[in-house]
Amino acid sequence: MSLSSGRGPASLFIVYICLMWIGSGRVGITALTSTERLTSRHESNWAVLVSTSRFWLNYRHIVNTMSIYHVVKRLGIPDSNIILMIPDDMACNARNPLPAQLFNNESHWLDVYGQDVEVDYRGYEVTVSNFLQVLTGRHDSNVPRSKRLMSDASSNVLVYLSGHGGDEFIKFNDVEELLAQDLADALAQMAEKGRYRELLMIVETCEAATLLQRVSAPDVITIASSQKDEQSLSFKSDPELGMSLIDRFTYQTLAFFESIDIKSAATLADLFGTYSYEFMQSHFSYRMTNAALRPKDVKLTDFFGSVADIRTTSDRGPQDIMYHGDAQMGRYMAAYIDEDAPWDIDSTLMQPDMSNESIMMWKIFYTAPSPSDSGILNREAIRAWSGFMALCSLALYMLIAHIRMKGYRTSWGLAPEDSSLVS
Amino acid sequence: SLMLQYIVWTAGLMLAIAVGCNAQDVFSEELLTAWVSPQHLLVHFRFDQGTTASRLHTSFPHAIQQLASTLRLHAVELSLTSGRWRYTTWGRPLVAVTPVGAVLDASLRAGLKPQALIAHWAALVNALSGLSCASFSLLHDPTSISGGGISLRQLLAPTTGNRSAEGPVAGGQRLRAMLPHEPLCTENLTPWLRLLPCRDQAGLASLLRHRPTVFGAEYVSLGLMLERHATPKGRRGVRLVQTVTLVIRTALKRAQQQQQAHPSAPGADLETVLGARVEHFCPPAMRSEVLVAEPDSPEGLFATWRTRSGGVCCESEDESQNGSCPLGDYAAAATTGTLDAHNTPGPVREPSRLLLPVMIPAGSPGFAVEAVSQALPALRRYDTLELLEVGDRALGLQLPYPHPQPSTQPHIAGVHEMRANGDDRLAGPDLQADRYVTGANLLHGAVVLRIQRSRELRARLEASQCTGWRGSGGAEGGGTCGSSLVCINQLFPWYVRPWMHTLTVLYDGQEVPLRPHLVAQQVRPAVQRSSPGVVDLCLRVPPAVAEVQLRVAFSKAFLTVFEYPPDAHRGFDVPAAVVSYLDPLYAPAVQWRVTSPGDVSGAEVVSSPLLSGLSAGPVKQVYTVGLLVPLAAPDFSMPYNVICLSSTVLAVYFGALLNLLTRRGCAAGHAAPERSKVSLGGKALQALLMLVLFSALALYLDAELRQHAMELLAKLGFPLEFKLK
Repeated sequence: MSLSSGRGPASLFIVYICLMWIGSGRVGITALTSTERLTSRHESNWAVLVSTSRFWLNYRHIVNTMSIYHVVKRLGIPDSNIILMIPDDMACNARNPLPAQLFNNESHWLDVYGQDVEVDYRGYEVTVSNFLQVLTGRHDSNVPRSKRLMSDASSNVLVYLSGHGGDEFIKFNDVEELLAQDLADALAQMAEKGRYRELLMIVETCEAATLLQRVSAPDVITIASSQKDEQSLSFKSDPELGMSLIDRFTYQTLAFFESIDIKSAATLADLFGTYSYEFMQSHFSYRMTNAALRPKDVKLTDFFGSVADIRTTSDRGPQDIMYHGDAQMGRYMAAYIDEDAPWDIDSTLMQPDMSNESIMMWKIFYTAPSPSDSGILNREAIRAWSGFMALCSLALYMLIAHIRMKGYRTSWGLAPEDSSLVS
Repeated sequence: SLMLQYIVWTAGLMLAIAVGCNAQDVFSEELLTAWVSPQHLLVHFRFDQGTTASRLHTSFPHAIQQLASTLRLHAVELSLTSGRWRYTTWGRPLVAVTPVGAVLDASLRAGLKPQALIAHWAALVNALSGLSCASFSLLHDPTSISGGGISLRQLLAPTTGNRSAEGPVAGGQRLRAMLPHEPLCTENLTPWLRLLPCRDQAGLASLLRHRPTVFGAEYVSLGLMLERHATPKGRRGVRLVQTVTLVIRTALKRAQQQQQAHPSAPGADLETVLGARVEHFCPPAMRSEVLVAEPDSPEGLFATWRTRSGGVCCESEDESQNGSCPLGDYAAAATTGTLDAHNTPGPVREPSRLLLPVMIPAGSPGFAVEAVSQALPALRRYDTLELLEVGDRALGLQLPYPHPQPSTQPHIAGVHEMRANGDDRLAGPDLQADRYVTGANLLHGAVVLRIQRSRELRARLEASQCTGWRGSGGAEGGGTCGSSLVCINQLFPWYVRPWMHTLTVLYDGQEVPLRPHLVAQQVRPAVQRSSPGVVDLCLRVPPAVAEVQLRVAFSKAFLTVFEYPPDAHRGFDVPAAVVSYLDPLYAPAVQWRVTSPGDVSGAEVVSSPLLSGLSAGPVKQVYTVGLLVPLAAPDFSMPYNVICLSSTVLAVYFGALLNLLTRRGCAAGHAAPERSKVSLGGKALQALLMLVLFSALALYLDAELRQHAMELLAKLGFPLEFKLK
């Protein structure tokens, strides 16, 4: 009796340790290989734009996110495909002398807030769990469509995060943190559920690269504004508002995007060319989990613009139900959508075949010494070994305890077959 | 009033059908402007839409139709407000005023089971959060929902006739929730405008296009009302009312001075004030009108009209008292025919008609006009289409000048002075309510609600002698004068717990016993972490009492660490209290008549949703401002988490080690001494193992510790080449 009650929590603990042990290893489940995903056509664009900072003094983080919102909206992504998370009201804040406007520059020539803005999550709704729910699509059934990321395997998704961060975390709403592993897991889940075709993730925080370093989901491009032990600095101090307006990395990004339009053929490489340490005071970095891609192959409008390749199919799918539950209505609507021209039917066939391997690519524009491979491996090894040691010592401890308990049991004069019954 | 609106609406519907356009969707837009102070202009938009079609709408928003048809609801009212109505400066509001933040008021069909009710509420809240970009999903948990409480109107229902008893609210289940700290900005207006057929591209809504003016206003309120109704023919329909109320501060001072110097100088232009122009007419609009409140008192205008029309004069005592009847000052003006062109400088147009709110005595067939309503201003009505035809892609509407007033703000004394001069509309409020917290303790406090009634209100109450409105609900001793009732509705979040036995009522500073003055009460205590407490009290306040104070002590709850909002140090919002009272100036039957030359009683009667909304009902509601209650908050700094975690691990480690080293092998206490001798070696081994276990655990969990360990090992000269390649 005493033995079994003593063993209950301990065995749970062993299970817990084992789970952590398994979790540390890479257990790869790939539902869609990267080739399959990339050969699907690019049909829609989605954007998840998140600012995670509350309070008036973090005006610039809201402006960062609104700048990207301004860019994607100008380049044609509709509000229905943008999930905007803004934790505090800056534009109509009582401290804002310029109501309903947000500026990235003290000259006040570009209002990034705009005339028509739709914020999907705001105030206290901006939480880690809501963000992860948006990414993974695991919502309560009541959540309206406007608050869901309804992307599929043919969608290009842009995710932008701005806020206060540190080593492998970003703070949300000043009370909670999103950890790098959680983010990586959410992206992996998105990949498995076929929620994106390609995903571009941009993070503008201090030590942004650390937040993204665990991402291993296929076909993800990550861009970080700063490295470990680096800060992401602010820019453009406005005497009228009394604080900084924007962060340098986003300012540079916005400046670049203001020069292009929807027909632009600019690539990621062009964007990267405009980033400089002299201006930003931090080193940006990017990673591509798909080895075959190069920055010069990725068109910016693939993510920031709405350049979908839409075709209609002859068979009516479940979408028709959406037209008021009426199949006739669906036919009526379909009559207004033009069929595809023959020449653009299969431009995707021209795409090169990708290798099945997804090799991690590290490419850091970084003059300071980067962490060496052996260092990373050593750290991983120590982690693995320490876990193993913990497990071993726990097992040994349990064994000794078990033996000793057996000893007491015999000393109390219990029959030896009792213990066998218990065990 | 609902019935009146309903009749008006149905009439509009019938008209639309009669005109011959087969549309089942109707849309009407109206705008009301009035000066509430020499510097502040009230601009109130009202957009009404209705449909009887179940799908294939021409202009009605489908999302709303779907919402109304899927959920079993009667009516939903949603308001988002920033700023507050300044009763002392702006006086009594012409239109309904809402408290700061978001208020959601839903009445669902009766007979829903509690579970279904919660599901309906959740669906409604989520749908509205998608439709209005507000964070209503925070209302998801029922902590902020309260039931309907006592409605003053329902309390008076038996005597006010069948009008309110027939209302859709009767028999339904009302749910109400407030978010006092909800901001209002462009993102709320964008989806709101999307429900209009022309958005802000045409029609009166394009006056909202300059967002900085709209959201720079001192009081901004966005309203949305959704209601199901049935036409007399039995067709089911949905009605959607959208309102925007702005109080804009304008720099009119210079213009005013100019006007005083040169009376013919052009004054303020409505489009200039709003920073946007109406360029196009919104084609689906069945009615598109601008109503401008006249700064002159309606009595004077009424007298003029009557004199000019040559109707039967000096019927009412008011007129003869005023002494302006036979050949008053206005007679001269009337003969020159400037009544219509009054205060419209510039080129003379024929754009407007003057409307007067006239009261119809209850018994008469509707021809004998008694007097004008004192509570409502005279309105000048313009048709948008006519204005657009004259103006060059603009309304070009000149506003009248506000009443010249001393440049200092009209304080109460000034208001009284003005009232003595016979002007009632620019005067201060009848009833003011304010609320504050006493005590700086982190555990206890008290809240005081103070209601002040103006001298005029008291005088009117005394004069009315309880004629007309007599309440019967819960009144002891026969008749309770309905007009002397004051009802208070206060919602307490569960972490603010009022002690009802400490409730004291003071009339003019004198404590009075509560029971004899209590007409009705409904007190629902809060349920910890699940529903707020609601206090509804209806008090009979004698007409002579100028100030009513209610005091109640409360204690504050401790929250768990995850229950604190991110800005816990700001304090916790307690929603606004609602004070309702009966307006003695309310006239049950008000008609708006056009002052056309001719007989007074035979003048054209004008009705519209906005006009009938102005004389909405006898119950007036006054909201207090928000209240912040500071609660004890822990130190939320980052190290907090680290300290928590590491100290827990350390405590477990030391606890286990101490337990191991001090406890004897056998808990029963009669262990043989040789056993402990034997287990000494085992204990040492166990202690060592535990040390290894915890240090390995720490190494596993903490990346920095691993790095430190690695550096230490490297310094000690261990080869660190676990190449896993």
